[in-house]
Amino acid sequence: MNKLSVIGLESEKEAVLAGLQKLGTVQLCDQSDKLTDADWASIIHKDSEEDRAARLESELAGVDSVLDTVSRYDGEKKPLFFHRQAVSEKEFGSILGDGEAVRREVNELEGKIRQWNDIKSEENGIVSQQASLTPWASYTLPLDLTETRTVRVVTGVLPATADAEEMKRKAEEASDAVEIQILGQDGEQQYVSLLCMKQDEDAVMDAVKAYGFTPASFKGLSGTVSDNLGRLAGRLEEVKKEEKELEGQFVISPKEKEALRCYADELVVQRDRARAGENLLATKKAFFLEGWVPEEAQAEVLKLLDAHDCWSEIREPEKGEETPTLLKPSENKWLRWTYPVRAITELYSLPKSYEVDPTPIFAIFYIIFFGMMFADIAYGLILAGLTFFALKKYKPEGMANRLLTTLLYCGISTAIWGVLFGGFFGDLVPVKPMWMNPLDNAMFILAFSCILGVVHLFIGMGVKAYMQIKNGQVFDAFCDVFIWYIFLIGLGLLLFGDNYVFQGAGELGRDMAIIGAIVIVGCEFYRGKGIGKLLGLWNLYGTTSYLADILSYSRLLALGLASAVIAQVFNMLGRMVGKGVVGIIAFILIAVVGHTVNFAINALGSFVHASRLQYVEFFGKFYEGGGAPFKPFTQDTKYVNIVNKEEK
Amino acid sequence: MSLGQALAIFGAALAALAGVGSALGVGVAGEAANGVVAEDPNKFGQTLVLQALPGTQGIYGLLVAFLILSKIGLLGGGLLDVSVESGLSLLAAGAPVGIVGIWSGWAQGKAAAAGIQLIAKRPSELAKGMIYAAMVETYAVLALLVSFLMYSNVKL
Repeated sequence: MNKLSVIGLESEKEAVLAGLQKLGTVQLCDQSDKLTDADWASIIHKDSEEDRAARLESELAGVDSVLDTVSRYDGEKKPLFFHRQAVSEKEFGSILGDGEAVRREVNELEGKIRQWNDIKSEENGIVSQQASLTPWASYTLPLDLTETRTVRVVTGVLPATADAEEMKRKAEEASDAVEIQILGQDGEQQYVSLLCMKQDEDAVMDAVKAYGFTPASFKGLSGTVSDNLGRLAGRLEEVKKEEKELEGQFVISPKEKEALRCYADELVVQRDRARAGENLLATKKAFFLEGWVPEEAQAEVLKLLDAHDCWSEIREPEKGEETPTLLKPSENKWLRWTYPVRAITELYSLPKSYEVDPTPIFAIFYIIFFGMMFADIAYGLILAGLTFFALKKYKPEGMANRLLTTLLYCGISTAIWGVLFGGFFGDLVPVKPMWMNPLDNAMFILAFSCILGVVHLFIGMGVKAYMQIKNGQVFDAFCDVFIWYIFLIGLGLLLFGDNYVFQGAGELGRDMAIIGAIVIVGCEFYRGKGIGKLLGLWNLYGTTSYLADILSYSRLLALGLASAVIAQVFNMLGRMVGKGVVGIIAFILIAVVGHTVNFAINALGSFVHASRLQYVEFFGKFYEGGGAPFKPFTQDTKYVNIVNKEEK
Repeated sequence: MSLGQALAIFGAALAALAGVGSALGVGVAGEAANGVVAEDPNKFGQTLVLQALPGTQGIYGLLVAFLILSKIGLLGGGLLDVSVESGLSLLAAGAPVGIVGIWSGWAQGKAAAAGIQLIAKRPSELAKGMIYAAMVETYAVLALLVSFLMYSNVKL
C-alpha cells in the first residue's frame, strides 16, 4: 500500500475523479489537517461540494422510495441475498440515455404515490368517522337540529358506570316534560339523546350533569345518522376503488424498473463523486489530492493521471505510518482456499498494516474445530448442501459470500468428523465409527482436544516470534516464545510423560521445566530495569493462563458430545411412541422437529465456540487487530454492478 | 423401587434444573430483544440468534438427565438394580450441570441482552456480542464435561 499525491488542473478534476472512481483502487485521504498548517492555508481551500451532494442525496432518496413502493406492488420477491446484476458500462449508458425519460417517470410515479397517500389518509378519516357515528345508529333526528320553537335537542355521552335510570328520574323531577333515551352503550360510554322544554333547560341540565353527562355535538354534519353512515360507506367504496386503480398503475415493466435502478445507481455514483470533493484541496486553478493505492494497481492509476496531465508522486509509507488494510489471498497456492475464511478475522478486527494476516494460519483449525463440535455425517452434508445451494442460487457478494463459503468448508469437515466418530443424525442410521466413538472414549478425546489446543496455541506463539524476529527483536522472541516452548513441553512431559510417552520422559521433562523456568526468570533479569528485573517470577505465574487456555479446548469434546447425544435423545423419544403406522408418523414428526432444533442450536454453538477459540485463545497470543479496512473510492452501487472492462 | 434408583432419578432431576437458568436467560434476552425490534423490526433475526445463546444450558441439563435415566434403564426396558453408592454417584454427576447451568444461563442471558443493545446501535458488531455471551457459556460447558465424565465412569 503506497501513498499517492496528485496535483492537477481544476478543469480536469471531474474527469480525473470519474476515472479514479471507475478504477476503484484508490482510497482518498482526508487532508483537513493541512488547512491548519499556515504554509498550506495561505494558498489553498477545502474543495467542498456539499450542496450538490445533498441535492443528489435527496433525489436518490426519492428514487429509492419510488422503487420501494413499486417493488411492493409488482410481486417481485425480495431475495435472501440481493445479487447485483452485472451490466456493462455501454449497456448502462444505453438504458439510462440522457436520464430525461427516467426522471420524468420518477416524477410521474412520485405524483401518483402522493395521490395515493392523500387517498389513504382520506380513507383513514372515513373509517374513524364511521367508528364515531356507529354508536348513534338508532338516533333518528337530523344531526344539526339543536332546537325547535319550544324544545331543546341535546345529544351527549355518559360514563359507562353512571346510573342512567336514576338520572332519568332526577331529570323528570326537575321538569315534567323531558324525554331521555339511552341509544347505546360500549365499554366506556353510554350514548344519550335528551329532549326538554326550553324553559326548563337549565334545571334539567344541572340534574343530568351531576351524573357526568357531557353534551356532544356533530360539527359540520347534517341529516340523520343513517344518512351519514350510508354516505360514508359509499365514499369508502369509491376511495378504495381509486386506491386499487392507482396501485395498478404502480406496476411498471421490468425494463422500466431496471432503468429506475440504473438511475438510482447513477445518482449514487454522482453523489459519491461530489462527496469525494471533501478530501480534495484546491487553489483557483488546481486541485490536490492524496490517497492510498495498492502496489498492483499503481500502473493503471498513473496511466490515467498522465492522460489528464496531472503531476503525481507515489511513495512508500514512512516507518510506523499506518496504512489501510487490504486482505489478499495467500501467496502460497496451498493456502489460497483459505481466503473466504477471512470473514472470521473480519468479524473480530482487521490486522494492522504491519501485522501478519492470521487467516491462512488458523483457517484449517477453525474448520477442524467446527467439525469436531458438530460431528455428524448428515448434519455436515445438510450444512454443506444448503450453503452450496445458497452460493450457487443467490450468488451473494462480499461478507455473505465469504461466510457461506466458510460454512461450506465447515459442513464438509463436520461430515468427515461424522465418519470418524460415527454419527448419522445421531444414531438414527448406525454407522461404525472409522476412528472411535467419543461417548465410549471420552478421556481419550479429551486429551486429544487438549493436544490439538497445545498445537494451536504453539502456532499462535510462533507467529508472535516470527513478527518479533522480523522486527529484529530476536532476543525477545527467545524470551517470550522459544523458552516457553521448552518450559511448557517440559511440564507436560513431567506430568504425563512416564505413563503416556516413554519411560524416563518424566525425568527429561523435569529437567526441561527447571531449565526453562530459570531462563524465563533470567531473561527478565537481563532485559528489565529496576524492579522490572523481578518480572520473570510473575511471568512464571502466567503458566496458569496457559493451563486455562489449554483446558478451554475441552469444549471440543463437550460440544461434540452435546450434538451427538441430543440427536440420540430425539431418536429415542421418537422410538418410544411405539410401533405401527401411528408410531412411524410420530417418529418422523419428532425426528424432523428434533433434528432441526438440534441442527440449528449446535451449528450456532459450533460457529460461536470455534470463533471464540480463535479470538480468545489463539489471537490472545499475538494478534492486535484494529486495522482500518481499505475503502477505495469506487462505484459503490446498490442495484447493478457496472462492469467497466470491455469484454474482449 | 430401591433407594439407589430413587437417588439416581433425583440426580437426573437435578441435572434438568439447568433449564431454570436457560429460562431466566432466554427471558431476559427476549425482553431486551422486544425493545430493540420495536425500533427496528429488521433486527429480528440478529436478536433471535443472541436470544438463543442462553438456551444451551437447559439442553445440557436435558442431555445429562437423559443419560442418567437411560443408564438405570428407566427409559424403555426394565429398571436395573442400582446400589445406594451408585445412585449417590449419579446424583452427584447430575449436580454440576444442573447447578452451574442455573447461574450461567441467567448470567449469559444478561450478557446476551446487553449484546442485543449493542446491535441496536451497531448491527455489524453481532459477532462480538455473541462472543461475549459465549464467554459465560464456557463454564456451563465445563460443568457438562465434569458431569459427563462422572456419569460415564460410574459403574452400576
